[in-house]
Amino acid sequence: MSVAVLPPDVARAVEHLQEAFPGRIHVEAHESSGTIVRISHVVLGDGWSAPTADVWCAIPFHYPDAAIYPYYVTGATPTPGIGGGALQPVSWREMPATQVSLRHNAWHPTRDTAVGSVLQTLAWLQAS
Amino acid sequence: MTELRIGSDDYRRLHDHLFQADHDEHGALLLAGEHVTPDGNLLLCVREVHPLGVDEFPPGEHGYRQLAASAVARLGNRAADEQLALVSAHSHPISDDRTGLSRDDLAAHERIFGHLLDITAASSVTGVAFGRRSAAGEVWRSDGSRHALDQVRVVGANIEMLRARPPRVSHPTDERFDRQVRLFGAEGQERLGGLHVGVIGAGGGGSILAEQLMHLGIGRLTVVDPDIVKTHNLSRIMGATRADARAGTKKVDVVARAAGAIDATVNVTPLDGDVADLEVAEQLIGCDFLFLATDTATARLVVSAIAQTFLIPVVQIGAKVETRSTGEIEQIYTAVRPVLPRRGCLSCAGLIDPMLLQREAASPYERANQNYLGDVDVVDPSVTTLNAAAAGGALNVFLMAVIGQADDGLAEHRITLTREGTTLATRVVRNDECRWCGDGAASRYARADVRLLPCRREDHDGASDPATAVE
Repeated sequence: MSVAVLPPDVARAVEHLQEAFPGRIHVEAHESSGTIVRISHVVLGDGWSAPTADVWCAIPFHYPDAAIYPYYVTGATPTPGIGGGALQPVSWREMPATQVSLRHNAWHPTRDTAVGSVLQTLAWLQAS
Repeated sequence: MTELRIGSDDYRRLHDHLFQADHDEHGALLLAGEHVTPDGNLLLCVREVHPLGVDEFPPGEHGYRQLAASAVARLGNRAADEQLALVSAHSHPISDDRTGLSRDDLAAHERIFGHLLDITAASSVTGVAFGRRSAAGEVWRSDGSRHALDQVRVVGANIEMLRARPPRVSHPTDERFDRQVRLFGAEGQERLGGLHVGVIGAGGGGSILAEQLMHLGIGRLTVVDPDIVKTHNLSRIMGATRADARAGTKKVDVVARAAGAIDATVNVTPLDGDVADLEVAEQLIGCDFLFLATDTATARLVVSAIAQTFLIPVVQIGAKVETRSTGEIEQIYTAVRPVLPRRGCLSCAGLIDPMLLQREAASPYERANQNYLGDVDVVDPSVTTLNAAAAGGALNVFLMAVIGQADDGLAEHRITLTREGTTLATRVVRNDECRWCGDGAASRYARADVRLLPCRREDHDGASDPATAVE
């Protein structure tokens, strides 16, 4: 069996996420980029079919030079019309999911972090 | 082989401090990243230069001058905190192109090097005596071995080698190099013959680079590319045939074959792989010079990172035809972009898009989903003459650097507008916060640590640290 070893920056990002969301961070391998993170029990806004869901993202192996994008929501679906075009139904890990396409057009490797990106996305989901 | 490598700006600062108008001996402590190759060679990359004042390099009890305890404590502890090795440097003010360690120098090593190894917990401590155009040193390793420092390499627009004495041309120059030797002499040819050059990308640009490097007479060539030859490559890859396209021959094998036809005695290593993979990237660390001839943001990031982490000069080449949505040609240009230590990297130049890096790491399915806003993959035009123009420019940057004829302006990025015939030069402004070439504590500049490269990594035997591994 081959084992993907996390680059130091990705391992540190996972640690920081685990500190920010204790017990809610689940990590698994990604076929090309290295690491998938699932944040469980995320509180959603009124525009979703369920009050909580799981939110996923891939942390690329060259994070933080690479931005974290997009996010996926499983376990809840958005009410048609919410999200201003940033939500798209997709299949993710062979599950029905919603892709959350909030681009980081000004991502800066020395200032932006995985925790910051997740918090920004969760705040947006809670407001939508 | 043991080598100390330093960026030219740091070296100029060090040199100015060591060789002052008073013609006295002066000292400095350098902090360096350490890399030990699989065959035991030691590479030291200078990250910090600390000139010592008279109070920290006072007259000595045993020799002419000595390191003060305060300097040893201050910078020894810093080296330990930063996981860097300590290099003690001083001048031999009357030495020019020859120098050597004196009896006093060696006695000083005996007195303090064991202590310095203990303080820093590094795998080496080094002492170097600099002449104005020479350097000699001794390396103590933590395993108890001691080695002469073979050379100090100064990496800038020119690549300068400082040794204890000038190298002698060891054998007559091959007649096929007669005309070029008239430009740079037998010594220049010998330098070329001692170089290991890496070419990342074995397509239209990379194959021209490899062919020209073989004609110049380099000593070793490593070519990296994961792709196979397809019919649409045949207009650009030197030496590729229809049979290669039919057979799906690896591009690196075509380039190696063409290189072997020019000089079968040169060691050519075709690396069938992606530079984004750590096991491929780390094979480039032994190179003296790198050419980047691929068009992905990931390759730009990784190779630019290698340049700054290990102080290996890089030239990136590009050829671009920009078209409007109507199909009309907007601009045709070629690019030659040197990447030198602390002169600004491809990231500082704004040539590495964090969103593009993310896209390149996504699976094909994910990329397709991310394209729904119309960000479609486009096949760009590519023409061999444009590749040749960019490759030629890059090779001249390399050649001038190796033979010591580069003006500092040659380190600038150059865009040549093909239709207009004009060349625009831009000096890259280094971002002090840059993760790769900046001054900040988080910068990987000269850390010489393979583990810090922004690469994919896989431990095939599964013997990884469970804290940082996922299945």
